Amino acid sequence: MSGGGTDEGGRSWSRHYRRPYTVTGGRTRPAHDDLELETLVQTVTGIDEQLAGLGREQRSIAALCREVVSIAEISARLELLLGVTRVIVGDMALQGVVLLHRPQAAVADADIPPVELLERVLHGLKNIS
Amino acid sequence: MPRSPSAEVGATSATQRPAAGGRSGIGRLVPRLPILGDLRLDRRFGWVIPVFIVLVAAIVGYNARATSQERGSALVVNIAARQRALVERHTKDVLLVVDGFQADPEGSGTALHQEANALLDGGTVIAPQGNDSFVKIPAARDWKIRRKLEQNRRLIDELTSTGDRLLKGGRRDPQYTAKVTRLRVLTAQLSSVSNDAVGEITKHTEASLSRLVRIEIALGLLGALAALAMGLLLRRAGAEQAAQFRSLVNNSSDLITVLAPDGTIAYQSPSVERMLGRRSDDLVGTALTDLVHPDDQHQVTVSLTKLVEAPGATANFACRLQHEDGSWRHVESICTNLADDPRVHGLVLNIRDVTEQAALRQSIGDLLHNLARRSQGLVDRQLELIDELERDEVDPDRLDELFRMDHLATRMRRNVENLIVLSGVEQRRRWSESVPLRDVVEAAVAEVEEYSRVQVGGIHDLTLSGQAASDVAHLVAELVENATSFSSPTTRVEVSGGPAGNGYVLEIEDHGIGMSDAELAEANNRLAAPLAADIAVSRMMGFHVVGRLAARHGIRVQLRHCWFGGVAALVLLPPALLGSAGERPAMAPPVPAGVMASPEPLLLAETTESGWQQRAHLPPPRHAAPAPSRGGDTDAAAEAGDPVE
Repeated sequence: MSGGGTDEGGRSWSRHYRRPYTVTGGRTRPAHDDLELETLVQTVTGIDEQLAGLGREQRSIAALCREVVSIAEISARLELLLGVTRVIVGDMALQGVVLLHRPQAAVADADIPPVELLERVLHGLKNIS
Repeated sequence: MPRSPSAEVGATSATQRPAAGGRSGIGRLVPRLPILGDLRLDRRFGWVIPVFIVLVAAIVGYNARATSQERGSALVVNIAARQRALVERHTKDVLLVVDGFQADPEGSGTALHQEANALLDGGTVIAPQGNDSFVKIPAARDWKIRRKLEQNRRLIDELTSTGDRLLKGGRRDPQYTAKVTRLRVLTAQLSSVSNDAVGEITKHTEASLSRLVRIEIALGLLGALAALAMGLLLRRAGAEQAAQFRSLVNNSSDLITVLAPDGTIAYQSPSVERMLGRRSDDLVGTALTDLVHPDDQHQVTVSLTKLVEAPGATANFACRLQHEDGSWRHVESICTNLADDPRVHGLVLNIRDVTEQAALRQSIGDLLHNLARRSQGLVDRQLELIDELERDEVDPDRLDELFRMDHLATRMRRNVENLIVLSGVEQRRRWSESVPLRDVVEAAVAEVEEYSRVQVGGIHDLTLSGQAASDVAHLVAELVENATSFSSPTTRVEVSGGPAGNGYVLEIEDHGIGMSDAELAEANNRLAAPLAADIAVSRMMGFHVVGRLAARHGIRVQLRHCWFGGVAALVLLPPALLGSAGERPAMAPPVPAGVMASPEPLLLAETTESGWQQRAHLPPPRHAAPAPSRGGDTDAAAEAGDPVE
């Protein structure tokens, strides 16, 4: 995650020594069922006192999720494996530290996205490539 | 006193004469006498001692007997001289009585008879000193003396009977004149015989005295010769033993060195010429440390200084000594402090050349290192591959399998890197920047089989030098592994830390059955003084690795009992390895981190070190502070956009 720089072979410390299985104690199955890539996570406000009792990753996630962030984004920004992120967020949701928002529900309400929006996305993607 | 080479065998031998049994009994006592014990006579000279004793006893006995005899002879001469006076008196007494005067011829006659009998056959007579005491004189034994004394007694009988007849007849006796004449003649005869007897006795005494002197001279000479012979035998035995010892010392491949208390060489066995190409005479008086390799000097000085303070103690050390040609010889030394022994008065060092073993060890170490390096490369690549697979895996079951593989590969990497440590080759993974201490501890936990039982808590915001990070991770991993394997699978192992005096202490506590005092002491010894690379110690590999790694970085590791049972391993990290992650890192609050989502309060050992107590005064954890303000998370945020990941 930080520090160490590189060794003789150019590897970073975190790539080398930070093994993902230790973060969850080896668990890979989230305690919460509805955790998809796009599930949005938000830290419950005013629970800073509780954060102290949490592990490092939990605190990082709680800090990151003061704004609504998707699980995929948490995974990418904190350099955590997707599977690991899901387990941790699931635990935090059970503890009531974070709230989960399911974008599927919004999609269902709107039925289909506006064509204008889809066209703009397509345009943007073309510009990238 | 001779001591048969095996007194027990001698005593039990069936052919042994009874008299010899006593000697072997003495032989058993002999070893207690240090000097005699050192000079053992050859068995074939065992008879010398009894002969010598008999000889001395004979001389003393003969002397005593001869002296007492000569004293008797002198007495006899005195009494014989007195007899002549008595004869004269008796004659006068007889004549006086015949002439009508008062006298006592009977008394002197009785005395004459008594003394004549005593001289001949022995008996008690009045002492010649005339103080009315009695002396006992022995009977005459020499036939010449006896003949004279018998003649003497006969004449005395005749004298007294002539005297008696004269007294009876008186002056009117017609034969008066003839009898008087006879009496005078007898007196004169007696005087002459008595003189002869005294002469004989004197002659005999002189003869026996001169014989005695000759015999005594002979016996004295014999005694002196025997003493000389024994001295020579003892000397020869001593010389043989000294030669044997010298030959052992000279021909031994080991060096025997005696160091004076100031560290200079007081004695050096000649075998030094073979080992170091130096003459022993040149070395005497020089300091041993002059020969020692500069890198080893400190350790040798420490060992010897410690030994000097403990008379009778023994110590070992290994070092390199310089050969005359400039090359270095690896040696091992066993040294004993014999400063209390007046014959040595110094440290005795037995030095063995182990250069070949050292070379062999080196080549085995190199082999081990090469193999381990290759495996390390392979395991690193395997871990990279597992990383790739894990990153894209969303299926919990498949991820679980990947985690198992990941864990196995991580443990394999630890083993391989331990082998590199044990190979003794000073090559290790170095990191270009320092690493947060917490990350190092977590890396260590990840390398342990039962990592899920380990709870990490209360590690301060410190960083560890990139040079030492990997080594410290392995060191802690070994201690955690030890803690998990010697405690029940249902208990936790806790890793915590705290500033302590002049550094930082990591504490690894288990709740197992603990170790006995002896086991604990042995483990601590092993940690303090890891042996040179020895493949046979692989059973105790963990402690050796810890000892080696600790020694490499000046880390101190100690095991101790926990008051609640189990063992606590304390790892004292020196300040040189530590860096700060923030402005005031050493006192930064311990931030719970790691495996368990909700760590329990830490049970710190009952230690009273100041460092531990300081924990009480640490500022409270910064709850309010947003996490990204901590170094680690800032980096994490910064790396979030890193295209590599």
